[in-house]
Amino acid sequence: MRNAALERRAIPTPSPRPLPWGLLIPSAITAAVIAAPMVFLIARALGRLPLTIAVLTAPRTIGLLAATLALAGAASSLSLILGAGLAYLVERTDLPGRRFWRVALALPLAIPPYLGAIVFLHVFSRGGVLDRAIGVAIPPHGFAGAAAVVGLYTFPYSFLFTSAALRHASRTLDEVAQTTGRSSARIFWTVTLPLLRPAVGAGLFFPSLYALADFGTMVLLRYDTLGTELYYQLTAFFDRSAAAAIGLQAIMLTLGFLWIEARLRGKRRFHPSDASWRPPAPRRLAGRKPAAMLAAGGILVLTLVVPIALLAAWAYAGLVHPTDVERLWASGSGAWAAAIRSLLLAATAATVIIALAVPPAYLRVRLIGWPAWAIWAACQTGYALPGIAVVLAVVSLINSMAPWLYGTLPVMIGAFMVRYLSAGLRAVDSGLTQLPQRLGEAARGLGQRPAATFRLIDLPLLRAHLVAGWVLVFLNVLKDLPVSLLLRPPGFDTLPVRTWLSATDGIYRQAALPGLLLIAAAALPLVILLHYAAQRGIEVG
Amino acid sequence: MRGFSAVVAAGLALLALTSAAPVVGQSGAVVVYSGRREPLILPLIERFRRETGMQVTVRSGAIGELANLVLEERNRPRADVVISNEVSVLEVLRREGVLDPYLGAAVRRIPPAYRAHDGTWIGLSARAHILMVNRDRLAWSRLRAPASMLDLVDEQWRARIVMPVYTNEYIVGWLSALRLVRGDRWTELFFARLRDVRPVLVAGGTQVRETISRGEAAVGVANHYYYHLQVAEGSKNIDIIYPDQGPDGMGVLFSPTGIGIVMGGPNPAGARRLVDFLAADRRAQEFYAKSNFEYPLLDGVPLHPSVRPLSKFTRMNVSYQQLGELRESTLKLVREGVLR
Repeated sequence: MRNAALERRAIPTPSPRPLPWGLLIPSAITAAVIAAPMVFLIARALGRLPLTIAVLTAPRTIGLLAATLALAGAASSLSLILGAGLAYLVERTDLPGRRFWRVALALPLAIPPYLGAIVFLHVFSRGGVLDRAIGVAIPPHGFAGAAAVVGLYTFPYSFLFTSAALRHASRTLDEVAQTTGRSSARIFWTVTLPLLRPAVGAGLFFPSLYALADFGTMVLLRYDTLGTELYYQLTAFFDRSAAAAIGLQAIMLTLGFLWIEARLRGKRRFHPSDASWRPPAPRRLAGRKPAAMLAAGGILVLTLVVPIALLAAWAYAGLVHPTDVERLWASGSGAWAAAIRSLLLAATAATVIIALAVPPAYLRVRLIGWPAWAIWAACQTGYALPGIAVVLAVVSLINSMAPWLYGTLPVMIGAFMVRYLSAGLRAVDSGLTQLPQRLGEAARGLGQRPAATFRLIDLPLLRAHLVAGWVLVFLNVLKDLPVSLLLRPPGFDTLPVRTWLSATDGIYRQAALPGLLLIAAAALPLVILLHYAAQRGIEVG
Repeated sequence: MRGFSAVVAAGLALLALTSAAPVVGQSGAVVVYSGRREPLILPLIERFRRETGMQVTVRSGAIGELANLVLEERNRPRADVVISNEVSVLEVLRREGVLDPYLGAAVRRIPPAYRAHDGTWIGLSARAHILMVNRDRLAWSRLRAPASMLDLVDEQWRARIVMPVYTNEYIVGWLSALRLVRGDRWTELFFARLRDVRPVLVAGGTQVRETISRGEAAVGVANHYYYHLQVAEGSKNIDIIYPDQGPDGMGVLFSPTGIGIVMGGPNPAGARRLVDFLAADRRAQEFYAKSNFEYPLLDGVPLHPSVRPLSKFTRMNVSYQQLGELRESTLKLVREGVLR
């Protein structure tokens, strides 16, 4: 994306037009809303520098930082190995059922890791499903369990990115390399791997972010990270003084992850020219086919079939044969209302966010200069704020500026904006970059007003990207736990909230129905997103 | 701009819809902030709804988060009632002046020891702060169950204890009680030694009982009903210990859960009816005793037969008012201790 911008700068811009205030003002407001919480949080941490330093240099904080980094390293490595390995199997070998695997292996993205953690606890704990069946218990607590759950439930990121990179790489490159007499091992290291570097970077980034910020999974699996510390700080009465310091550290860590991702992505871009592009020749698996099928199938069973089967069994048991305890306790009926709320919330947030992402994206295409870049940069801050840090930043800002706004729907939507507008913007921007500018200019030349040009020319061409961005935001909001848990108005329990409250109360069977509905609600948009991504080369992250 | 406007309009319409739809909770409903586990309170709320025809909206969460919310909303309260699993939080809210006194005839039937003297909060049920042990795990390590909370700092319990995180309300309340009984300096040292043996820290009592039942720790610090809930779920290898008994023992921390009406809340009449029902209705008290194994506060409501009766153990001699007063400085102690 950044390179695309540089290229665009080289194109001679048409004669200077008056500043497009109609774009500038809404974009500036959006940018301010997005950047304000982070700026406030950082100012707060720096404003109490002695405390911040004391917190950041305390042995406990350093221990948490080390634990977070270790988990990020382990989980993202596992995620990458699984995702890239499976992508290679699906795209570059003659594994049967390629079209099935392409969709199926992306579907675990519909299951948030905290749901995976609940399932793991019940399959692998002492007295769990496995223990009762064959007498084997592998308690999934602590470091190993947390790394396994995050790695397993985030591998589709690596799978999708690597698959896309492998699909777009042409066979011609390999063949050219072969004519130079290089060995196939050397071709892998010098040709294939550099092509995959951006996918590797993105594939490592998302699991790392989960390792840092996903307090739900870590609280359930009993592994303390900076994310759990933020959660405990946010839910402790009065004691939030150290939170800003921890939040600052989470931001810096995320920036570190982003830096690694950017380094891996590198400055180089590889453009297969359409004319010479040919699909790579698949490797023959021959006798290794059953083993490959078993590996792909095993991971799919573990990450998709087992969770759904277990949740379905619980939900069925809870609905049909409620135990005495369950009869006494609340029924599962709240799950359906929560599903409606979740869908409405995700749809509203996605609509608002994508609509607000259009002006800044246009601004960047139309206007070169510091205002456009300042606004663009401000809109990117969401990437640096993991979910629980967004909540912390929004809570501190709201409390000191407008406490009466706390726990209202607009604040929830605002928090989702802070978190996901950057991602939505990326989708809209990738569409605008591909838009033939001449068409719009021709329309303007024929006397159409900008609004009409947008409606008649740009919107139809942008539609796919807008839909993809919308679905992406929708999906993320649907699965989000921190914002809905800590910023929701009374009575606005969403599916993740219902799942979480039941799980932390120890009534896992009651987490089943909302969990199942959440997976069902996420699966359909995910399939739509994959469809668009495959068609238009849109990034899913 | 038509397409774009349509998208925006659809978004606004959705926003309006979400604000108005019954899925958001109805206007005129009694709004409850509840720090208690949902299974312990929702069935009663449901019964209240059925009998009175009044709507109730519940926001469950950690009591710390909800108490913060009540304070932050003090100029525009949105909650009518706050239910706390820990008494010192209610005491802090009382001293902050965000609770509305209510001493209706019904709530006066709760013994004065278990409600604020000015009627700002009323006890619902009471719990004992105890130890639970995993018998197999003790036998495996050839350890004897501790008889006192003070034994926990012993080296033999290194990495074998499970308890809620130090900022958890129960732990803050417990440390405040120790300060009252043993003094500040002593408690500070005790807390430092406790951290030295590196207990496993979890989110709350539910996680304590799960960890103990699976044998992943030998001894757990929690409220008594978590033991009974775990036994009700089928665990056979766990025991409960009421620590610090005997003539020299300081006794068990025994404290109520409670409910308070938020000052200036939107539905004071509904709030009072709900408080009457949850505190003083016999069926509510029977529910606390029967389903959650708690100590009922209303005369004549029987204790669950498997729970140790009040007459059979010594309680710590602390006033809840003092626990509330110490709360903030105890948190400071915890914070500084953890930082060190």
